[in-house]
Amino acid sequence: MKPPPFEYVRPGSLPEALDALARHGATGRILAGGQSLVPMMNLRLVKPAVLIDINRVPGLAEIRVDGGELVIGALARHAALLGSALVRKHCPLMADAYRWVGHGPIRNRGTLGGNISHADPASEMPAVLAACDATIGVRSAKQSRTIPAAGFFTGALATALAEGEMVTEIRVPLAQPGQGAAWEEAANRKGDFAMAGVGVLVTVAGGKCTHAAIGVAGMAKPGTRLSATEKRLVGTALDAAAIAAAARAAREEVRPSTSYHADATYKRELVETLAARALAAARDRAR
Amino acid sequence: MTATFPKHIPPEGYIPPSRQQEPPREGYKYIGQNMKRVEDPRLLTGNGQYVGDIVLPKMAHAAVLRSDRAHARIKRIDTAKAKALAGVYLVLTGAEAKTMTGPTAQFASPPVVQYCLAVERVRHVGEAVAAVVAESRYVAEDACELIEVEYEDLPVVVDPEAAMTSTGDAVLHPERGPNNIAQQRTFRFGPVDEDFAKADVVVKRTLRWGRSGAQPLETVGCVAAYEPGSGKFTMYTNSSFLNYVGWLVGASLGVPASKLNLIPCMTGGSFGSKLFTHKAMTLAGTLARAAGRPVKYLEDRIDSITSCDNHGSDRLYRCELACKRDGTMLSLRFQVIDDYGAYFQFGVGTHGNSLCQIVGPYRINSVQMELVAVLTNKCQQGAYRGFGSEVTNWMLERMADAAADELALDPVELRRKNLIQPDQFPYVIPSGNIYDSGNYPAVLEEALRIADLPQWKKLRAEARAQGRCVGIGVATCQERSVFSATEFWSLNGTENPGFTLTSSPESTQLRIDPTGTIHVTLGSPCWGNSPETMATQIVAEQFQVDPSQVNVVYADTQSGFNSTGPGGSRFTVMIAGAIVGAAKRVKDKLLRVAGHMMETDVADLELRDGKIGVKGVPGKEKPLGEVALFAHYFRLNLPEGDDFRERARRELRVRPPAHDDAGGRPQPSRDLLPDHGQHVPRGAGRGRPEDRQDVHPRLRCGPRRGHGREPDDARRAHPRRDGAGHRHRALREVPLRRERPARDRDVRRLPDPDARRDAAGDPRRARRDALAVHRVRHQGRRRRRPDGRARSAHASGRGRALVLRRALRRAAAHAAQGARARARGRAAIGVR
Repeated sequence: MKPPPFEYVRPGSLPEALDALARHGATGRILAGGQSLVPMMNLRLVKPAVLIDINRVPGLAEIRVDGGELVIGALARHAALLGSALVRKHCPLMADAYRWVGHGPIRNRGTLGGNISHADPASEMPAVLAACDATIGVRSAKQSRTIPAAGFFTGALATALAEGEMVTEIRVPLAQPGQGAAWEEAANRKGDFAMAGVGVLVTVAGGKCTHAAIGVAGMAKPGTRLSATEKRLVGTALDAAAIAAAARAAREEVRPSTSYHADATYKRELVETLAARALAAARDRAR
Repeated sequence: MTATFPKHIPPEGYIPPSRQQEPPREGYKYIGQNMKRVEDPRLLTGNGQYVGDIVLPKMAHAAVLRSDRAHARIKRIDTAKAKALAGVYLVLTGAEAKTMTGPTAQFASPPVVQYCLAVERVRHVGEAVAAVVAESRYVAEDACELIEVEYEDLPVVVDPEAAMTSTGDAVLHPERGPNNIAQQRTFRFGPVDEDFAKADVVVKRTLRWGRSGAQPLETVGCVAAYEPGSGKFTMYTNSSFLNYVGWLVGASLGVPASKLNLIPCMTGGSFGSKLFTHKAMTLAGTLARAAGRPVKYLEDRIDSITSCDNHGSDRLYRCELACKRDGTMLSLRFQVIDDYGAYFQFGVGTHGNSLCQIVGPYRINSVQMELVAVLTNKCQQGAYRGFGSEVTNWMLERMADAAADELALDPVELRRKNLIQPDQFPYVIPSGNIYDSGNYPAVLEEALRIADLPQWKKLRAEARAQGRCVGIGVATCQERSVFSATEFWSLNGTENPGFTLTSSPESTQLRIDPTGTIHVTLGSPCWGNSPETMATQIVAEQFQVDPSQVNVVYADTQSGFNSTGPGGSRFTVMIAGAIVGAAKRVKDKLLRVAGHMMETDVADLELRDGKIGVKGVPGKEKPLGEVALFAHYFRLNLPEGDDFRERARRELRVRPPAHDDAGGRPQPSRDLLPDHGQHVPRGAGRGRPEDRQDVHPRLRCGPRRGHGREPDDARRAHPRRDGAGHRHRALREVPLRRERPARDRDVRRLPDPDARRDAAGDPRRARRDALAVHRVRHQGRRRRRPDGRARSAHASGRGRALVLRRALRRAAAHAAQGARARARGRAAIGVR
């Protein structure tokens, strides 16, 4: 379980990192927290020729509020986000979901930017960012652009990142009054990748649901939203009947993959149960 | 045939006298007291000196290419590219290794031939195919990728039942015969047919126990060095069985034990996974000799998971329990198919172990076991926590619940009705083992009291009303303490009996240096528990010195004494007695020297606060160091005579049962070992301080390992033809601390039931009586197997009846010789 030989580059600034990325193209990989990349290298599942270590790049780990958005640097560690008062206040769905992410040593090293660039379908954060309508800021040596989270994830372990591009920041709209958030998940062990996870954001005004967003993890594609189910919820009082109906709809709407620990049928059952729980919790928090 | 002891009472004269060294007493200063672990400072500061920490001059690193096929012929191996890689010193295939090193060690008889690198055929995913020695592990693994292997796939056998009828190319070891049955025998103990004829109900169940295994933080490894001048191997190893396996590894390498020294390293977790570790030692030795430089081979996690020595039992039971309508259990009859994987390391030793407690805590009058050991394309079974008897406990409890179901009886009531009663000890179970003492009903009642079952039943009703699936389980288990290696071969066929009975000894050496420091050398290595703390406590107690004055080290195989190893909870149980014995001899000598120095009668002297003083005269004393210095360097001042000529150095070899030689209760052997406690949920925080420190962590582990095999392990452990098993095994989720199923547990020690037998009210005598029961094993065995007659009968093979009688006798003798049943029982109630 040792990686094959590779070259190691440690840029001291973002332009240097982007230069290295441009130079090495598809053979280069960004090393952030390394919590997925390094094990995959040790198992020789991936064999990058060059590792570009961005851990010394200054300014990439910030967590701050900028206008109406929470801005998270790509190098912000899971542990920092889990413990961040800003995250708790402005993106409670992320704070709630982080309770399920990895174990202490993993969270100490792993980064949000690395997590979404890896785009594991069982990971929580793609679903959270999709539900929050976050945008992903990416840069290459030549240009920078932003990609909506829902469009960033293109498939299992696949993103919209082009060759030479890296994630630099994540922007999440600040939580608004009347909004409630909840994350529910089922994993064989706490901290493992989800068999199924459901994140819910609802906005309640005048006793009615005015906005609903549901992101699911553990399905075929990371960062999946359940837009049909969301539409059903808008206008309801989020009462038990509405939630039960939505949970059943969610069960039908998801496109689960079969994994080693859970087949598609079981995942649908999990989604129904978890969606009902998450919706009820989010509703209660919205009040 | 009928049981030898139809009424479960041992015959007259079966109980030899006690070897107890000290009577029971209270008021220990160090034993049983909470104390920081002696081992911890170096472990917690990263200075534990594990195998991975060993670095020798010119040392190279080995990696192993493993099979991605479950069953295939090796048609061709091309190592040219690997050999050409810079930094590679040696590439060795199985065929090449076979010319240097013989088959690996094992206890099966007849053996199933296995090499440290597969020869001609691979039989499971993960089997070692070739090895590389290189300047670093990285280069070695790079070279492994460059080795080209051409396989010809063979039919894969993964289902144990299907393995019983395998033919042709599906037979793993054609040289052994035309099928995959490694051993098939029926053992019958007591009047099974008669008991079944008396039954009102026969409860039948098919039960499947999937395989699981240990996942130690530290994997198995070895650093081997070979000196061509002397032809001598030195190996650093984390084997906990090095005294038992060392000379066998020597035999594989073709050298006598005098040319092989195994140096034990600290062990990072075991539960059986460090017991044998012979493949790592044999491979590292082979590579070191061939490469001409020291070699470190340390399994990585994939090596460990796919080709370890610690996959546990993998059994299919077809059970019949004969009961009366009132729930009385009469007889147990079962077929067990056990999937041993591709090789047969311990033979059916796990069933030898099971038979020692085959009826659990119940009065089941007779037992019949048909054992079918099959070979399949999986990693071989080895030693894993419980060594097979835990599966028997599970089977018994499933059958008890099934009987309660069918008879519409309360599961607790059914158990209560069948427990061996306190006045029935010593109790001979049908397979011949003796339960020395116990009070099972009291354990059960205490468990029920603490668990507050009515409260749980109420909670269950409420939860079910909410649609939740909640159940309450009750188990009453009997767990003997320590094993004797005899169980590895006690069930071998009469045509291939293997070895006779072993005494499975343990030993220790104790000496005092001129400064008064007491040095204890343990014959068994550490395997992750607290042996140094245990030894320190006992020695500090014996000499009344501060624990800092005690130094505990581990012997290597060439300086150590006879020893079996810490497996099967043997460490404290066995070595405590050896330490006490050695300490008493050295203490006697010390007092004699002090008596001379102080011109005082030895009888008037006592050890107190690190000094030797005159009883009742405060201040009249000499520090232990002063007496030791005198004894070492000023011996000319001592009178001539044997009293003083003897060196202040003693060793004592203790054979089982040594447990009770440690000197009374409470003693560490009993206090520190979970198997002597009673596991009861609820009421956490009770118990003694050392429980929280030492016992509770181990108790937590028990339920968790049960939890770990709870999902359908059998399905998941199966390697598939496409090699997916390899990765799937890696995907299996090891239950971690957070997955522990029960939060509340309690350990209770109930009063030793032996005291009850003392009519004269003398607790010392009572203890002796109880101890005498343990003694049974040695002398009873000798009487039962006089002058090799049994062996000659084996050779002549005189018919079935004789075979059965022999089996019974062997099992009885087996039980007798160290499979002592610490029959205090366990009751557990778990709510999920």
